[in-house]
Amino acid sequence: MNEENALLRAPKVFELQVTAANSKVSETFELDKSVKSVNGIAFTSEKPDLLFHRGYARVEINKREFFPDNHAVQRIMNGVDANLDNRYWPLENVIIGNGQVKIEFTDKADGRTVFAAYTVQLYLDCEIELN
Amino acid sequence: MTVNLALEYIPRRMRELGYGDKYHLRFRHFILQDRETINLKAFNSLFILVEEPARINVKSQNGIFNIALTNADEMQYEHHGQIQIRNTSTSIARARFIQVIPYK
Amino acid sequence: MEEIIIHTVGISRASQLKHFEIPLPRNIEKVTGLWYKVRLLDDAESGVPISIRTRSPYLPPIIVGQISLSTRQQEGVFYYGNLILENPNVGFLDYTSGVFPAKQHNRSAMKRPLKVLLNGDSAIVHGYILDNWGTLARRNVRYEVDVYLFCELNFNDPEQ
Repeated sequence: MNEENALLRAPKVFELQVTAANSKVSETFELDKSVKSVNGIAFTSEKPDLLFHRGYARVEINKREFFPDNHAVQRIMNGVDANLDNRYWPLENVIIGNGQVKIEFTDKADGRTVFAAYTVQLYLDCEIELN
Repeated sequence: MTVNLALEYIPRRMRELGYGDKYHLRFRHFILQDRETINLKAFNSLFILVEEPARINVKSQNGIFNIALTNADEMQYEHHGQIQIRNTSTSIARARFIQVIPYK
Repeated sequence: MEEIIIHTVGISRASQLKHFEIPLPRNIEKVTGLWYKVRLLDDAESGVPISIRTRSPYLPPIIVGQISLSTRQQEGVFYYGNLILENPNVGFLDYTSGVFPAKQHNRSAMKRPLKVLLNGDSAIVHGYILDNWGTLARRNVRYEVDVYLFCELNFNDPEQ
């Protein structure tokens, strides 16, 4: 079996709903106590074209800002043709601290899309310590 | 921009760019015929416009100078690199520049 | 420590020439990357072209405009090029199109910023955007361009 105090890697997933066009949704999630570090982040949705054109997110982990306000999610989204080991946007020097992940998601209209309610999923690539 | 202003502006600008006072000056006065275009290769020098020429369009990577543009909010007097000077009318037009050539 | 500066430039008229200035933070050491994103404000249904139809399998991208970015120091103009709406050839000769039709949002790896290296002493980055979308559409097209500058900050400056 695994060694004692082994470090495992698993994604932690958080969801938030976007129900109104041009709205701002703020949510704070908390990582489990067993999460020792976060190595990467990924965004996805069941309507990826809306997320691609309209999604802007500010992400804070333990009060440290990783992406500022109005940062386009497009830049950190990946496609189905990306390497399987390259699916997360790497985050460096993440200090877990209180484990709180705060996301402020803004939906902004883009003439190329028609709004429909969508869910945004935030994946965090975490290292988990088993005690 | 007048010639006096350009001459005061140049030393300060050259210090900003790190050339100190190692540069040469040339005064250029271009004459363009009916609808003529001049393409200058000014890769290692700076061309500073010293007046507001009428009927001329100056375009380079730094920006555009054209008094007749209705959709522009600013004009650029300093140009370098590939500069295109175009006479937009059918009569002769003139444009005056000071060319600053840094050495070393 | 890294910081991203996002500066938005709005364009509303055809062939508009808009200048802008991005002030850099006081404790900046250098600028290390550049990226941009275009957002259309008008409705595409109102006749704004968002793709070019051709008979060839290669689709030319819509050139939204020209952008020039410069600093006041030796770097001068450090970026000069065309702003592209998006890469329309993501599915070029893609034989898997039946299952996952290739679209911008489900192909292509993450967009990395363009690497630049600029001295932070410049204090500002200025530039202009010359619209071309309005010229293609033959009407005023309203859109926004977000310019991202990736900076490295210096927290240990003894002079501060």
